[in-house]
Amino acid sequence: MFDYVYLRDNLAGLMREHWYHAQGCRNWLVVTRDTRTHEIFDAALAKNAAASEPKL
Amino acid sequence: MSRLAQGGLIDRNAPLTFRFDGRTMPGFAGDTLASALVANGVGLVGRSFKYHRPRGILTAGSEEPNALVTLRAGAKAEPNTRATTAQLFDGLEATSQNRWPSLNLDLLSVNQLAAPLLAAGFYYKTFMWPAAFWERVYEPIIRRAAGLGALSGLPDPDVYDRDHAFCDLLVIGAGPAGLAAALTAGRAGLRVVIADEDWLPGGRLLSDRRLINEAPGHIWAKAAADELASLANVRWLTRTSVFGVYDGREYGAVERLTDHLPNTPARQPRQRLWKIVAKHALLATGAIERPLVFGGNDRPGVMTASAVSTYLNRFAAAPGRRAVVFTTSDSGWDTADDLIEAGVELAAIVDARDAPMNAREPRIRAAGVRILTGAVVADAQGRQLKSVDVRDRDGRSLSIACDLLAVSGGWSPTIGLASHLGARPVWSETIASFVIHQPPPGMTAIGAAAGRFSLAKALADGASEAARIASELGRTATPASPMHAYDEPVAVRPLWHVGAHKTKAFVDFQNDVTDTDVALAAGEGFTSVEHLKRYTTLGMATDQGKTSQLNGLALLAKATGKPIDQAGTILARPPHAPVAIGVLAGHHRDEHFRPARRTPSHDWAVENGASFVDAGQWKRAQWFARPGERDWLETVNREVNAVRAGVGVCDVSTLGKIDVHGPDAATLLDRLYANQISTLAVGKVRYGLMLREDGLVMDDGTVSRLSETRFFVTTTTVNAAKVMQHIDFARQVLWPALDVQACSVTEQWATFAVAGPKSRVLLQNLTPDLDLTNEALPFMGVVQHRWRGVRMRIFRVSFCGELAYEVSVPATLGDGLVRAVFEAGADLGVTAYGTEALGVMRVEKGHPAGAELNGQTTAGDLGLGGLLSRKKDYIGRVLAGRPGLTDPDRPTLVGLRPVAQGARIRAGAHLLPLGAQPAAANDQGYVTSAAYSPTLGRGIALALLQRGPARHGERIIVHDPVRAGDVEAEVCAPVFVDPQGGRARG
Repeated sequence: MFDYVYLRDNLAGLMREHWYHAQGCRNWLVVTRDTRTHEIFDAALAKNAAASEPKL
Repeated sequence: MSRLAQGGLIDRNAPLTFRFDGRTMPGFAGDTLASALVANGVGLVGRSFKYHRPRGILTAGSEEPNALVTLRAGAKAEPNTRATTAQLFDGLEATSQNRWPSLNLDLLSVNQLAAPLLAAGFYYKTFMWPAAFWERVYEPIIRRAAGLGALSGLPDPDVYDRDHAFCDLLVIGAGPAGLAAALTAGRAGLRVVIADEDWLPGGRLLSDRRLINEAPGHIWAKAAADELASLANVRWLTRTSVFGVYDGREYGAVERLTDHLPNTPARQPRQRLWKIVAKHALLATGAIERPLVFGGNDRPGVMTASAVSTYLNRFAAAPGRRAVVFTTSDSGWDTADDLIEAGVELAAIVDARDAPMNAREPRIRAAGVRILTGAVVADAQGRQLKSVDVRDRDGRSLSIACDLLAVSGGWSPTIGLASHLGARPVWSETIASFVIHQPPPGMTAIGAAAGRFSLAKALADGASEAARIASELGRTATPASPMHAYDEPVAVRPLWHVGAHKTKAFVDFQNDVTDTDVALAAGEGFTSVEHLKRYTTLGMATDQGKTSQLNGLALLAKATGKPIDQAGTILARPPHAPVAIGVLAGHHRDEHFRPARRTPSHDWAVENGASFVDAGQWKRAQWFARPGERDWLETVNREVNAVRAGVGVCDVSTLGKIDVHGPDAATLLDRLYANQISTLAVGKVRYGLMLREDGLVMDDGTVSRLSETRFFVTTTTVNAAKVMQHIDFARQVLWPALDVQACSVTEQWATFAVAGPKSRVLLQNLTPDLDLTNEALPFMGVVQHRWRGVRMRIFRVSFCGELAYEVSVPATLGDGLVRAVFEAGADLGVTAYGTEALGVMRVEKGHPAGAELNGQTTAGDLGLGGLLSRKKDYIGRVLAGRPGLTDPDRPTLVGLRPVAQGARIRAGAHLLPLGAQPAAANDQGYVTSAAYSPTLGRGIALALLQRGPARHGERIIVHDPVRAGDVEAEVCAPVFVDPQGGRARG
């Protein structure tokens, strides 16, 4: 539980992140982003993505 | 006058007048301020940043480091305007900067005598001792003496616009490469945006005398621009600087709409900020000519050779009467040819190369010009240039009289934009400069920006890259009509430094950084380019080192004994060109900077004399002062008394409201709230406490069950958005399988607290057909009703502790409801109360609010430990059980009463045992909220105190050393009024 709440991986490379569209549709997204280049590789609605296993 | 009798792209039929430092001078439409100054023989236009040295115009473009002036006056004054880019208009008024009392007699030039103190890093060295002198003595003096222009200090009277564009191809720069590319892409049907900072298309074609298809280049440029303007799929942005490259192929640009007009037409925007999203971008920004580093190279009269050509060819203005050209590249020879063509006496051409081969040489030699090869200019002499000291190939020194020295140190591609996303420039030995190999996605450099300097290559480059992009996008590019141009030689052999010289040799003109500063910095260990920049300020300020960066880098490489490509480069960052803050702010200024949210009763509250307080973006009525009341406390006391004895009304619409709906709504709320929600009966309301994952309290509010599957929850005002996001996270990320929807309805409902013993009578007057008896609508009950044909919800909840209701109607009817409530309560003496009275009453009742829900408190700390359900799982349950959060010694909510009747406790004060020293070791807690209770006639407070509940009756010290001193207080239960809660249930 401690790990779940406090520890986050901080990868230099591809990372799956939760993004929230606060000013718009209020959807949570799972965004796959390269933290070094900010390039976005994938974005899916979290409610769909949560069901599938992480691809990375 | 040094205006040439003929030629140039100025309109001699449109004479203008302008003023510079109070002197009225003539010019023509088509001039820049700089070219008009040149045409009027004005050589001295500014004083340098640090040493206040006299400076002239160095360039003819946006890279200008010296000729910075303040344009216009009063509130419209714009300091640090580059005279080289300011288009002349009739009545233009400009003043020079950084001089006192005048440009010609600048007493601050005594700084030159102090030059040894102002060398590289002077900020960090000379003025460090004594330390106390820094802030009070040294810095103010340095700041006054060194600097650029000053702001007017007045609000900006102009308005600014913003717009968005989406295109297949963004062409940055309308020189030969950019025009060829835009034409090719435009004809192929691509959506094209082409942006150029100039008002005329053509770029370098406007400055030289090259031919395209046997006609002057500017004629071809005009024809190309006319064709582009006729294409519906091409957007032409003149006077537009692309200043930044961002993620997602997004570009920032500023279009200057009215800066070239004497007056901005009323309500017309002055500038427009463009956000351009482009599938592809072609960087056709050309190249910038480098000055050379020699003694006195900053004297007025020293100018880049390309700028000399620009003034001669485009503006028909001769920057001097007798010129010398000092070059290390072939383009210096072009300028020599231009000088001869314009009839300016050319005394000599000094080429540092041993045996330059140039097609123009025979013609120049035939004109009787002295040609010195393998020679350098070691020093320039005169306050305004009078002569140059040349060292010939045999080391002999000779002096040549001249009032103009055209210098050419080779060209640096303008690739700053390509580095904005982190791409490192790569050294090219061929052109002795940096080029970009891996530009940001979608961007390609063409022409001179790619280091291909000849006109023929620029045209070919633009056409072929645009054709490639067109075919990538599935379009067929029709071959552009042939563009024939001479493939002229562009050879360069860099000369980073001339060797021995007698006077100061500047690398960065704008920041007064000399060759010795660079060497000194390297000698002191600042050998990385980034350190060099910070230590010497080389490459900073408005020009961002466009003319100085590479020269500085080369000198650093020399000082550290490394090749240039290993010395590293500075990565350019946005903005590429200076951008006014006003255009970035756009319409988001003053009251539009942050939108104000008004409650449904706002207008009514204004009519009733409310004072407002900001609660986040909300404007909430704080109190409603009446005539004759001495201060706010008297007003608030009256409001509290009115509620406790009669009935009061307060707008509580700002509380967050969320509709939770669906078969699994109860399940979701059970997991979100620490206490059980699923057992709540329809028509009932329950207090709900929400924890964060880490076990601390997140927010509280009420949960009402409107039907089996529909709940209505409220949050505190400040946490409304946060709780909504939290619920969305739970619904979408944690438990997407639950069948439940949640929606914020904060702004859909107007809600008024109607509170006090007479509230039931009032409501009965308002809704005569509704049964409001205790049996029909008990405490913590909710009914839905129709009032005047619209939905109304009445919640019997109480924040103040009295018999009270919260009445909701759709927000648009809130104003009507509050007026109706006051009609219904007129005979009862109904009183409006604000957030301050609300706050006093909640302290009297010991309800936790923002000061207690501070992100550090547990449910137990707030005396709400009993709410934590043991029958179900919920967010925060596991970590709420951590030893640190269940420690019985944790500060816990108590009430405090000052022992002395009139004493006052303030929030934030710390609690000490009686007799204890005021030390951190003795600190047992702190005051969270304090108020004067008119009900009890004394000050009261809520506090978090170690083992608080066990210490009721004990006396402690409220320690407040910064404000009021210490107060002795008695610990008590946090509920001061009606502890049994009978009033609310009555």
